[in-house]
Amino acid sequence: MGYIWNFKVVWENLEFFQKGIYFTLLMSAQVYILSLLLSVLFLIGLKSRFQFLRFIIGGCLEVFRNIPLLVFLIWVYYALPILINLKITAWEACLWTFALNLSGFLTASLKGKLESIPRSQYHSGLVLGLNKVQIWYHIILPQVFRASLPDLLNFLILAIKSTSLASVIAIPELLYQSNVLISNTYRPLEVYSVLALCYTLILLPLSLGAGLLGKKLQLSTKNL
Amino acid sequence: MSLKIDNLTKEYANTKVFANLNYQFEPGQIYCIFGPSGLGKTTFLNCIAGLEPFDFGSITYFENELNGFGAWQKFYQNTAFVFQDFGLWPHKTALQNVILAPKLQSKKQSFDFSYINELFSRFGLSQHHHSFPAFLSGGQAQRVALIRALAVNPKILLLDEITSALDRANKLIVAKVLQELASLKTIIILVSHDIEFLEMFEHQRIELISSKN
Repeated sequence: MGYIWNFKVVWENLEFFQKGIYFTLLMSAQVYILSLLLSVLFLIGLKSRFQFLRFIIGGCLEVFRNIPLLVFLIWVYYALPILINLKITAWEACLWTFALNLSGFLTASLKGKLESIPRSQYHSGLVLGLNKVQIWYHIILPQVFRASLPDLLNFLILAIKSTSLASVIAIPELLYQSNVLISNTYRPLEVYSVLALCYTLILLPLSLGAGLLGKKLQLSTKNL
Repeated sequence: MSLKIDNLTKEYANTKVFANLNYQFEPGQIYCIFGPSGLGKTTFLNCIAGLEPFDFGSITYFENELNGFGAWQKFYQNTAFVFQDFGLWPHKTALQNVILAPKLQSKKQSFDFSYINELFSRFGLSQHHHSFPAFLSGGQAQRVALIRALAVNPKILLLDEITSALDRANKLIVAKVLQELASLKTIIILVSHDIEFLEMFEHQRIELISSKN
């Protein structure tokens, strides 16, 4: 095709990528931690005795999971502030949108793991005289956590990938920084290639790790 | 010290599983619940252990009626249950399964392993202290579940099909252990179809009869 690659523009503007990576990772970390906390709360809600609460939370999670993330983000950033007269920064809009979406999936995954533990494991602890806290601490949670580890890594990957959408509301993460660099240098092919490489370098180790972990756990736990 | 059941009735969607059962279980006796499959023997055992709600009637232990979570919680300090599917905790080794409850209940710093070691060797599992349940055979897992139940020194022992995975030699050992426990004033209630096993010790039969209405 005769295109002459010129990666000099990338080398000379590495600080653009550095800043992008910083904000991508910062947002991913915040999104991930927030969605973990939210999932635990949602899970407790879903296991509550009150049917109304279970219904409401179940419905909300369904909505969080099913709205396209970009639509969700734009709605939260542009429509929600007008609707309820709320001042919200672009960063907060991204954080909450991504975290709610992610926790929709995370809660479903944790709930599945929780329900896959046979009742008799809970009951045998109870009849042997353990109290509820002891049963959760010694029997239920270690198993849920262990079974969820590969999923938790996969959700971290999902969190990192979703943050690229934040570029549409001018969060200076990787994709946004790349676009700025392109408008400065008119070198989209080089910049986008390096952008793709950056994401690959961040995500590939996590993805491989999740795969390995899954295999290792499968070998060591065969359910009775 | 007896366990009394008055008028116990359990229904599923207007079908009575069992109705108006009255029994008094005395310490030092072994009771065997009999009856064809599907009559609710396991349900009955679960109701006695408070794991399934019942519709009418009452359960009284030691003159205290068991109603409300606190009363049951106190009752559970004296009980142990071996489930049909054993209910072992797969993330803990055989030994960890066995010692979790007694360790949490004993206030002492040091824990006496001699009784537990003795149980392991009596059931021929000395080599399997550190095996995970997934790596035990069905019969071994069942014996670990029984050891776990015995390790808390229960005053009431509930056993659901305790010999389903055991050979004759092991059934004899279990029968002997149960008789010893009965002589120590334990109430033992078991569900079993195993004629060979039931011939190994003296017991009271409780016949569940179908209660069609």
